[in-house]
Amino acid sequence: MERSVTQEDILHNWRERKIKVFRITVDEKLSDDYIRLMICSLIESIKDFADKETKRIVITDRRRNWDKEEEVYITSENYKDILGMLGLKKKHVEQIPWDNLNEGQVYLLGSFRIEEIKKRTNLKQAKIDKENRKRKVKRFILDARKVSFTQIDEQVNDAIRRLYFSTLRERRKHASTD
Amino acid sequence: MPALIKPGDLIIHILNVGHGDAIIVGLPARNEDERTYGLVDCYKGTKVMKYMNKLYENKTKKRLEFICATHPHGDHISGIEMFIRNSDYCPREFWDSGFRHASGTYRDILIALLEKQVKMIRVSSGMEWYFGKLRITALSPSVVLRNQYVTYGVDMNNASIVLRLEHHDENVLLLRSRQYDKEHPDTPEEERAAGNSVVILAGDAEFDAWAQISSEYPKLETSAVFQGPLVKKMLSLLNCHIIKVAHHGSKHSAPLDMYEKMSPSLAVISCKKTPGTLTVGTKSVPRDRFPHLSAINALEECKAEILTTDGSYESQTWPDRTLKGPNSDHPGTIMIVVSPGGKPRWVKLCDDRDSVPPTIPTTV
Repeated sequence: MERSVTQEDILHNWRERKIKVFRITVDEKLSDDYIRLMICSLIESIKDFADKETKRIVITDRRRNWDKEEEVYITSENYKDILGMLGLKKKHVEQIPWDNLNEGQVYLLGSFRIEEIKKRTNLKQAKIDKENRKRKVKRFILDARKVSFTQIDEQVNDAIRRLYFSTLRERRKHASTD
Repeated sequence: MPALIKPGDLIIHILNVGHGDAIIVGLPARNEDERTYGLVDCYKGTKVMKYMNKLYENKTKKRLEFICATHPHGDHISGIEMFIRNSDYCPREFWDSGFRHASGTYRDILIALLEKQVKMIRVSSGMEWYFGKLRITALSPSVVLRNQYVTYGVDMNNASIVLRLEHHDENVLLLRSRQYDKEHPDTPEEERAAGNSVVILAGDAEFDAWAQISSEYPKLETSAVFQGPLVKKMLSLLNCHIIKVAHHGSKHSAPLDMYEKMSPSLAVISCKKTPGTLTVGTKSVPRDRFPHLSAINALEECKAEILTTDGSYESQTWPDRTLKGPNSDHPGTIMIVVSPGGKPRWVKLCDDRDSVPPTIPTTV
């Protein structure tokens, strides 16, 4: 009989990885003390998405950059230990008290550093925001010497919304030819 | 006495996939070779794919008519991308609740839909699909709730698509058109009789969703003579024979008065028993999160027979020490057969959450 892959197997596999970067989504709050996370790891062959000019590896939310998502169940009692296995430091724990974990939050955890770059905005945006013609944008650069933990919902949600409406638009295009 | 499954029967397989949902809907056809399928949620895609292959043993595989993702939680959608990308089963339509989740699994489904050019439909209450004599109606999400997704936001479970499957003994559209034929004045009677062959698949709908469903589908009588709802209340679209219980039988799955309105004969809970503890004052009380005692009590109160995919309910005993489910106290997929206009009949197969049953019966 086929054996189920257990949560322990998955966590063990991740702990053995040389470069650890995880995308963690709070998927469902099943009860006050029980949550399902969906976690995926940055793929091991990560060279192919290095920035061509700087040769630095920029972590993006593209599908090809991540392994398949796995579910991990946590309780209010064991979540610090489980996330600790993935590299979460004590100083990061303060960022995520149990009661603040909510469905739809997405976190990035692991060996990367955050760079804020000033990005030139388009004219329409500049009109809205005359004071700042340049906007600060966060970039996540792979860095084996660091362990960072940050919430990335804003970027992810914008991307999902764009993708969602592209898919709906595609449906309309085909509906007219069916 | 088991009866042979006929091509015109609606077949619903509620798969044992542990804590998650995967429901295969076998749509009625003229002969078995023509039968097509729909998929409502898909957790543990590998098992569901094997099960589907078994259904098509010695037959030509066909595209799924639809995949319905009731809502984008991982335990309902993690196997869907596999089906969209499969050349045999890639669906004609994808039914979506409209709730946009930030998980990578949901993102990958959207990408697969785009790449495979599958039509995506945002479902809301009142939408209907017809497959011959089968009518599928979306009872939820209500537009009122759907409009909150981008403003206040509702929680994902309340965004769930809830489907009502009615397998009438006549073509439902013909029946509706006869309503205007003075020679056949009995249409409401026939529609009432259809309540016997109704199955409701409730996704993970919780209180807000049920409240909207209750207000949007009141008990009414329609009449061929007097067009429009009458005060006399006789026809209930919520009345059903079988319900796939919402949210794996959690304490939020449905209030007792909803079950009373639906008055199901059979309640199926797709679950994996998950024990937990509750702190009451200074005491720690052991309590199952899934299925929760409050859901079980409400269903027993309505005199519904209860079947669980993990067998946890059936292996419990009544006060007289007899088993609650003497022939089904084991894990397994639940197979429901609905003949046109007839009362559903069901059987529990024997499979754990990763494997498929050795045979899928041809008689139920």
